[in-house]
Amino acid sequence: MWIFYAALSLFTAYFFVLPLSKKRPVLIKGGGTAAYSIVAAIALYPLLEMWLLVAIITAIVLFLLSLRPWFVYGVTETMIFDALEKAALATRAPIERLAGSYIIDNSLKVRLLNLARRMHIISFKKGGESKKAQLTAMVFKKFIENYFV
Amino acid sequence: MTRVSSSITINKPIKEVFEYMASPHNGPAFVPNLNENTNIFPEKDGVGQKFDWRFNMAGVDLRGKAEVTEYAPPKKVVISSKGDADSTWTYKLEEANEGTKVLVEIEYELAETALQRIANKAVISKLTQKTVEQMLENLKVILET
Repeated sequence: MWIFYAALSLFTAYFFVLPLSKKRPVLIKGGGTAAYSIVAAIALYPLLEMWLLVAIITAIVLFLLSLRPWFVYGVTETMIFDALEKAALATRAPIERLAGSYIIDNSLKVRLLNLARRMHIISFKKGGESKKAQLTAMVFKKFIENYFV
Repeated sequence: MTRVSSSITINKPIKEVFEYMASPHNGPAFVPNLNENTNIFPEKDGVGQKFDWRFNMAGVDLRGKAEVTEYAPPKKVVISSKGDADSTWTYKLEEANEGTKVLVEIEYELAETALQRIANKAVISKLTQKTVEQMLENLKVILET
């Protein structure tokens, strides 16, 4: 088990302590979110029944595979949507605002789920998204990371 | 100094390509590892325009100050920068058959401290070449589609 505690400590330092020490928000992309969530679930193993652990990991994997979400901590919802609108403006991508979500370049749906005041999950409903939408998502990530917490 | 370069043809008028590329506000949108350009002054693009930049190379934050040293619309812009990396970015544009041929040249030298943080000079050279190629691809995506 110690290896999972060591991995959890390293991931926590890399994903949380490093950006927060620079007063920047935490942003963990799909792969990182998956690795961190699975290591955290396994590290909690002594507190969980085996079936519950398997259920949690399966749920995490299904959620991450379908939506490839980003975990964001340290900025408000308004700041996130401002960053998205700024990114779309910078890449000249058409952006459409729907209730609680945005569609970039008619091909990539972005949705925000508030977990707490400054803690969010940003999910992307992908499949056939344009190159411009992909680029806008990359610029969106930069603009979130440019904020100070 | 290490030098990397790349070129691409963009199917848009030279004036439009120049105006987009020459503005430091647009840098983070098409330069892959450029996180931000801040404190841009004056607002109007031209010789003497200065800004602060923050670039991420192999996970390491590099920072510095830049100044537009040559501005010849719609053909050429030269940006010189100092900081963790001393560099000169030259954008040359010329009219091509159905659009604009864009050539980007970057000459750079990393400060010893920044080099130690990233560790490997050969890796940096490859990353920079990839950056300049991706930068032009991004520019094409932004302006053409």
